[in-house]
Amino acid sequence: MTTDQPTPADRTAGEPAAPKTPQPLGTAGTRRAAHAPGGGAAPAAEPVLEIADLTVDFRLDTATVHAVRGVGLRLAQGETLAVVGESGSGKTATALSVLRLNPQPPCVYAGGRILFEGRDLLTVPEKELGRIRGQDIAMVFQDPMTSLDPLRRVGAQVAEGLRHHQGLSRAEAGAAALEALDEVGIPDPERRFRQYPHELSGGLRQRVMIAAALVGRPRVLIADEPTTALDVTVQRQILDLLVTLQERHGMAVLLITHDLGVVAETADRVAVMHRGEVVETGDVLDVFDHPADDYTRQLLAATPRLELA
Amino acid sequence: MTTEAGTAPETRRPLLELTGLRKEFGGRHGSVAVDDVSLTVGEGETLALVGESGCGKTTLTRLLLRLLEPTAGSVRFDGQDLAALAPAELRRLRRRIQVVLQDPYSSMNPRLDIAGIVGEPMVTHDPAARGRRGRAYVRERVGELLESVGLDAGIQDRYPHEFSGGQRQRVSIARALAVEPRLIVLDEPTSALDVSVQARILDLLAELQQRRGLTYFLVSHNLAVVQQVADRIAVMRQGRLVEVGEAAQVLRRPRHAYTRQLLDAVPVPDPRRGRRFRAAGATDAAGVTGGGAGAPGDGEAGDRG
Repeated sequence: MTTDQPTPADRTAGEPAAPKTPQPLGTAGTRRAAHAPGGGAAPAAEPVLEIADLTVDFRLDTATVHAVRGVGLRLAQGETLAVVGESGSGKTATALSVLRLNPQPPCVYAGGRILFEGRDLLTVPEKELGRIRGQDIAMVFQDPMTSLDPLRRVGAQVAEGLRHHQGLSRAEAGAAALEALDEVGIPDPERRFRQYPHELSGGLRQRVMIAAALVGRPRVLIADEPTTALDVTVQRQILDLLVTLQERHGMAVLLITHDLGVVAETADRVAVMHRGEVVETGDVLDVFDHPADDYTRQLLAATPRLELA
Repeated sequence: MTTEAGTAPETRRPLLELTGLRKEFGGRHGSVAVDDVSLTVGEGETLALVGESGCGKTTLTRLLLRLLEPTAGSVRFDGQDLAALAPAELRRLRRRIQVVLQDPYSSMNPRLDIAGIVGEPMVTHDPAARGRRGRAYVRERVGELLESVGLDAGIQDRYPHEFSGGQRQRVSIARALAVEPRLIVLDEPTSALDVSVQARILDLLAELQQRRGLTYFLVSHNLAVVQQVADRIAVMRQGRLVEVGEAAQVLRRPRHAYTRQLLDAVPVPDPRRGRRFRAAGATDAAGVTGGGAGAPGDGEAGDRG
């Protein structure tokens, strides 16, 4: 997450004011347009999730790494906001902060707010956050093999959230889980329900993860590189599935990815992160057509394109 | 590394010839990982082997490196059948075939310094690198190699963990070049790297190929990368080659349905083909929101184990 950062000395000395900047737009010395044309403004709708001035540090023995430096993001109801960046940009640290999932220590939430339904998720008591996790805000990770419990049957893992959060009986939760497996397009769900994760292919495991995340009808889904570990034809199916389910259930999606192709295909808006800061936010069309920031331009130029015409 | 301008494969001298290669893995539930694969790679060209996980591309790569014995078929390098060689002859020939692996983090001994990592194949294959004068010889050669891959010759005493992913991949390339190979197997050489770093590594590989007349056998799942560098493309699925041809031909006029499927699945960095536009254009008709919800295709549906 931090490998491509400059040396600790550079980081700490270079931009001491960064976390306090209300609208952190790019690294020092970067020439930039005054705003992203038409897109940089906040979405019209009331945001369901708002990250303001978020600062996340990792305090290591020898140095403090400022992984996230004053990030602001607004996620509107029903929209997909993609956060794109390279390794070390702070995109995953930002996503994990929403549910306070960064390991503490070494992580310290040094500043900012994450507002959800009038509460600041950075300060709510752990017990209250536990009710929000997996219920109101759910998460899907990159690697479904390590996020599923290898010793428990698939059905029970999908049902777990319902039993825990909504107090459903085993039978009720099981029935809902079976329905969820069916909805995410798993063939023969009754059989899969009783199987263990190792008996499923990578694509099916990711469908199980999505079923488990969405079975409680969350308002926000955070998907951290959900298709990066998958083959390209399977990736296509999972992306289509996410879009379909979002349109059906209307949840907001915060999608973390390094792949501008995935951004273009799924997102309404995009935030580009670089060295812990959001360098540009805007409507996907605006950002792809008229990138305002140098780094965004570099990223777009480096992305290999398949030219088939 | 250009596609159309390159010499047609028929006129190139064949460097690597795979004939009727087959590999079965045993046991009661034995499987055929590579099934009757025949393929020729010409001197100086870049052949890209494309396929999804489990298609047999790794097994095929290990067969051509002779890290695995084929169940049937032959591998010929520069006209010599690898199976017919005595162990000492095989060792001599091995220096002509080198590998660059996907993950530059795990493909280096963390306790060797850069000089040790890049110099190791020289010590194995080159008598001049051994003995009392060997050390100075190796240091000089390693310095040249590091410079040829765009690194500073002065980093020889440093260790792999001090470098970024892209720099480490450059070290891997320098190591592969250390014994003057003719063929380099590039196994997903940029898959673990960020896109901006990936572009620079691909440029470096192209430059080295031109300068040294190298032949590349590239294994990749990334069709956009393949398009940038390959002269020819071989598409593999379930142990078999379903299509082999000139890169432009395979990408623009694929003959096999599976090749088309692979091409269609690649995410396009153009928002006009994205979610909102599909939804606005043909929501119901195109089945974007249809009940099918993207049922898994055969790439995904299978059981494991």
